[in-house]
Amino acid sequence: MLAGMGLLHRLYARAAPEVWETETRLLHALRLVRRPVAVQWIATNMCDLRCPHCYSGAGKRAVGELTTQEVLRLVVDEMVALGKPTFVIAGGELLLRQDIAEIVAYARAQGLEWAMHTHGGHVPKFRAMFERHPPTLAAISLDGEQRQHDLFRGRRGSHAAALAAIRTLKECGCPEVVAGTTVTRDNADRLADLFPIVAASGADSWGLHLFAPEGRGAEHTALCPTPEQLQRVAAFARRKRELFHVELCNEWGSAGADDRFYRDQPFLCGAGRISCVIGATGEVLPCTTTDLRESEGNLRERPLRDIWTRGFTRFRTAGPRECSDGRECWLQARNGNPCREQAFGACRKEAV
Amino acid sequence: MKRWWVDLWAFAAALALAAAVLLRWRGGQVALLSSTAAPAIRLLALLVVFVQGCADRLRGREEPAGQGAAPRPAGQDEGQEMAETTGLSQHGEKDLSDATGPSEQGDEDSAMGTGSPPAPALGPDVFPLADEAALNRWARLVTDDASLPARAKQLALALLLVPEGAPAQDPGWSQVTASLDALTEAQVFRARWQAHVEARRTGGKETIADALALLAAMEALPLYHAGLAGYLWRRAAPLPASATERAELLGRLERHLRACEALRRAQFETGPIEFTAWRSKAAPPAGYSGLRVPPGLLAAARSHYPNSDAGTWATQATLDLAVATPGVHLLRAGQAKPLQPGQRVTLRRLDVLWAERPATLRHDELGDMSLGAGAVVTAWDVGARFAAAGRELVRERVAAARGGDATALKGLEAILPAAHAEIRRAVAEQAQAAGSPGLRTLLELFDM
Repeated sequence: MLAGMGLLHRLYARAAPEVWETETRLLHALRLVRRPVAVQWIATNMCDLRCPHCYSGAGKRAVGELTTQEVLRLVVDEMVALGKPTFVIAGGELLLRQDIAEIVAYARAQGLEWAMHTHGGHVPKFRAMFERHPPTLAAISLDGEQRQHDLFRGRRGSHAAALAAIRTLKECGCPEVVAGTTVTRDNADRLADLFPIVAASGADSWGLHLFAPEGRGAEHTALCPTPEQLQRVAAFARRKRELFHVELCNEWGSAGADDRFYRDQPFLCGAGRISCVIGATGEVLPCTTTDLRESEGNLRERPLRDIWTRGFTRFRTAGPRECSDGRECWLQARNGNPCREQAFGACRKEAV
Repeated sequence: MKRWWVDLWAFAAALALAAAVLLRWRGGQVALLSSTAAPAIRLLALLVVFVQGCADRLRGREEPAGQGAAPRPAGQDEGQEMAETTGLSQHGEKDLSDATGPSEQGDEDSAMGTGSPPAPALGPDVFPLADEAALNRWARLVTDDASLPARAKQLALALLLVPEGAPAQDPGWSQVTASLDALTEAQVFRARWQAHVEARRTGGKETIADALALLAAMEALPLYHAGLAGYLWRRAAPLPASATERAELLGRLERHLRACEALRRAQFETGPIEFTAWRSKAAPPAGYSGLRVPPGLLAAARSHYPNSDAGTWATQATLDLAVATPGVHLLRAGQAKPLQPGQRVTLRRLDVLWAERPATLRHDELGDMSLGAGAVVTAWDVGARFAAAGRELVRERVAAARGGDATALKGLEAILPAAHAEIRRAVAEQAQAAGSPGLRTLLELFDM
């Protein structure tokens, strides 16, 4: 039996993207839908920082954000009905929401695992909540060494606050604290200086995200790294994986057979297939885009379960290429900014 | 007796399932995939892909290749590519372009004007982990714990984070000591590596034989780890050595890195080694390690080893050269090959060039480089071999990159072996310059 499983695993590992796509098409043909693995909720559009790369263009509270009761009923309860995917809370800055502790407590009581993305500045204030309900994963933004980070985030002390947040979360028992760096043209060539800081921060891993021209980022397209930078960062990450848990995140797309050098699992774009995003006002989106034309519906009008099962067909069929190609990050592809060939293409050419 | 009712039941169940799917399909209903049906769908998809793959093969269609898809282990790619690693002298980059003799790395070979290439004896090239027991011992050293990174990773990280020339009281040394102390079961290894740490801490001298002994102590555990192997390469690169000694160390490192590569490829196929912490309140049973080594990992690694290369050490941070005169030999993976005039070679960081008589090599951009009789050159010290014009070009480009010129930075990436010494000098001189962080990132691509 074990040998059989081993064989299946091997077959799957060798052709994960193909199996994934075939499986998606099969499910669609059989009128079946996978349960989501993760649902990200943009808790609020509020944020006390104004980072130029922000994918949600966060700042002021959005008009018509979900109320506490709506979140509990339309988000949490519906997620339970969907098979309890991981409840990823992001923003804006989630910790600026007054009711966040109540929502987390309710979600945990319903048996949901939760995770969060934060800039870390308010983590110490919520220590009691984190001790009581430690997230299974917490990602803290870290854009560079102290000067670079503070300059980019527009607030002196934000770098120190992020490092303090990492320590606090580890002390509170969070099993995986990730230092998350969004690679931009400004910091791509500064990662060697950031690495020792991350390694000494107490974080369990370092997630290298990639700038996407979404939200406020759309106003700062000059932050897109150059192809040379993409290659260098990929080569850098590959080397550092020998020393620390470094992972190229989904915005990078698939490196094909070379994925093993950059991440723990083969890349598969989960947008609309195993994950979705709920916007601050209840719009259900395939990923972290602020473009409401991509919405599959609003929770106030249709239950999440209904939107999940009936929506997102363009991701589950052989539809438009940017949606159906599971090897490319959908978010980057929709912005005409696919980068996997730039980042990994040269490596492949070299070796073949 | 035929159990007809079983057949009937199976038939009815299949019919009901088909009818349900058909009805749902016609009615446009969509249902959530249940956890029991999910494996069946996955299996079906696997089958479809497998059959499709077989059909593609029959039709002769190529499979998509990744970096590791068809690598050529060093020593098997006859003469097409050569890499030359040069050692930066500890005093900075010397001008060795007058071809008067060997580099500091090759001082002991200075008497060897002519003769056969000094190839080292590395022994049979077989996958080093002999059995499951060895694999398990290796796994225990390199697998992350539930809450802590792998001990090998911790040690490599601690060693690499201590800055060059750090004083004995630098707090980084205590991290190194703690990481070594964590390897409780490895007495010989610890003793050997502690001696190395002490030598580094106090500025003591080490030899290439010490580096070989450190590597041997690692492999005896068996600890195969690309990070530590990279560290060892970096420490040994500036040490004086004969061509044979240098080729032996680099050849052994190359095999070590290939083994790491084979193990990585195998894990991607069979699934990773996993650690599960003991969660019961009762004491764990005797011998409980929490480690789950996927079945078939050893066999998969063995099968990958012959076709594995040394990863980035084989493909990145190289220097393309053309041979201008005869008398140069390439020592790669324990083999020595004469290079013919006109032949183009890619100097890798694990290669050695040895000149039996005065010889010249050429780089398209940097121009000629000269080797004296008996000269030993590696990627570490190749930069000093170029003529003044080539070295000036490197200096200009480094200065431009330090000033923030992205084009210059890109240009340096293509000649890293020839430029790394100048880059080190430049960033040490102006650590805070606009382009210094970029140069430091570039150096990381050469040092590991």
